[in-house]
Amino acid sequence: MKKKQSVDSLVSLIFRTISYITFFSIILIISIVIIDGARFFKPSFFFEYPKKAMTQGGIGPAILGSLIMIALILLISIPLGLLTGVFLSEYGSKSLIGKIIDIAVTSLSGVPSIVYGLFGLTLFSITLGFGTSILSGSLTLSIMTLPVIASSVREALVALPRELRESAFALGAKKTETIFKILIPAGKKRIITAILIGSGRVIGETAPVLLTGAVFYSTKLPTSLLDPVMTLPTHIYFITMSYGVEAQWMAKATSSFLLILILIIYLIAFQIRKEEKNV
Amino acid sequence: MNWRDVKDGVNKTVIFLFAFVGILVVVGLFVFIIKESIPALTQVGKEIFFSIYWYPTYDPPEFGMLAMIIGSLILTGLSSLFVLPLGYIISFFLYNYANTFERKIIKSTIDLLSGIPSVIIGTFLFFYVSPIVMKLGAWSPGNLLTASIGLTILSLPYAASLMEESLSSVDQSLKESALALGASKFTAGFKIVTKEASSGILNSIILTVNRIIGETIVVLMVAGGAAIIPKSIFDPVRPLTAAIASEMGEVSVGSLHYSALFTAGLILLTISFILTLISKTVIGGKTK
Repeated sequence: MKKKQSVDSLVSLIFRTISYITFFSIILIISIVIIDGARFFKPSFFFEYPKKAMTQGGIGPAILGSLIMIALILLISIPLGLLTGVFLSEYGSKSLIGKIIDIAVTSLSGVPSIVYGLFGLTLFSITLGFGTSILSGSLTLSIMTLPVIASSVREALVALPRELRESAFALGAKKTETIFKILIPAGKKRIITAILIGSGRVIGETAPVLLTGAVFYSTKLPTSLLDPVMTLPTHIYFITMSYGVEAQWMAKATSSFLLILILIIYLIAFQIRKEEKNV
Repeated sequence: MNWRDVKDGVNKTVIFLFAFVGILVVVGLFVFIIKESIPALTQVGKEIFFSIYWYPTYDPPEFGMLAMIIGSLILTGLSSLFVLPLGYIISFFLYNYANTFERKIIKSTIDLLSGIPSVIIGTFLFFYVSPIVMKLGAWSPGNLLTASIGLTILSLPYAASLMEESLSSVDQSLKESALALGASKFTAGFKIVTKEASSGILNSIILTVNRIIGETIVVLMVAGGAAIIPKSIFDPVRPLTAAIASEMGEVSVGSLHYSALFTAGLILLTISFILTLISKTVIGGKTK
């Protein structure tokens, strides 16, 4: 008995130590990125163009570019993901077509982002003639976001009690009336959480945007959806890789800002998830 | 047929049409990427998979991707060696030993980590970690070790949370009976629960490996980029994903080089598709 207990406390000690080291390393990484970059924050940083080979000025156009992209992506991927999730949960479980769509969505969630980039490049930029543009980039990222939203919506709907559907049917509601008026409102919080987490991921995506939508430096703001765009993550990438020590501050400051933005989105998502659990 | 029936029918059709987009995208991915790969596959021949000489801009150019394929595999292997045990240890700790408070903060922190974009991890490694690794003996700021650290950080949330889920999904009474029979917590968790959760854990491993092999930006930033077969962890590597991302901007559309990069994409797409299907079968076999 003693031996068993000592094995247990030893393993527990080792595993706890490793977990704590990992935990503190994550906190350390987040803190270094945020604090070391936030030193450079000042109002002009958020509004101005980069100046003098990225050694001065700000990231105004990259912030704007990321916001436009995320708005467009949500506009496309929310209806697509929502209805796909509805299909998988409410229609798809038994039929052959449902199984195929299920496999398709699962496979899409595993495809590397760079492969989506290649696909977007040949389909949107070249074949459809959208070029390197906001539109090509947003369409590519929307497709990437589809499986994330679809599988969360499906989970949210599957988790709803059967009685909810049955009582709606018993009252004479049609199937799609039940879906749109009862089920989706009932799963609303989980769906919003999924959309927020999806946005948090997609706003930091770099590789597909490099291939389909990004411009390294632009002196004017995009005027149409067919213009290329600066985004926060591609801006960080370009500065880190192609500029010297003089420009490093801007990569650090942009990383810090982007990380803060994503943390805020995640914290809101976690908060909603917590409320939903408490109800 | 009244108005409500019509509306119901229309809504149903819309749902079906939208859901169909998923299939279109999968088919489109394969069609377009295979189509663009064909010139390289037919003109370069099988040398593209078996030669280590990748000199796409020389005259005559050479398009051997073996060094990059091996680069991807070594990077994935090394990172898995770090992240899979680490993920298991953390998930085991959370499942077996952690108190409620520890569970809560460690799980949320790992969830947060999954939101950090790879470009930020890449920049972090580039500015703060690369200089340290250089002091340890690396001769290039980007190398196998730094890239593996990056991939470990990025894939840890997948490994840890998926494994934790599979451990937690095992019936609690199994663990309790083992404890009641006098097994230690470690034995109950390791020999009984882990064994019962083995298909879930296998699935976590597959999904984590899939995530590592497709990761692009971190390896583009800190793997060093030399298309050679590395001999030590301090050597630079150029995995497939990094080659695509860094060279695509410079090739002319329709050239052989362009097509060869799509072939690299085709390799990645095929690997991810196979891994996802295996994972789906593993789960399917368990639940049915």
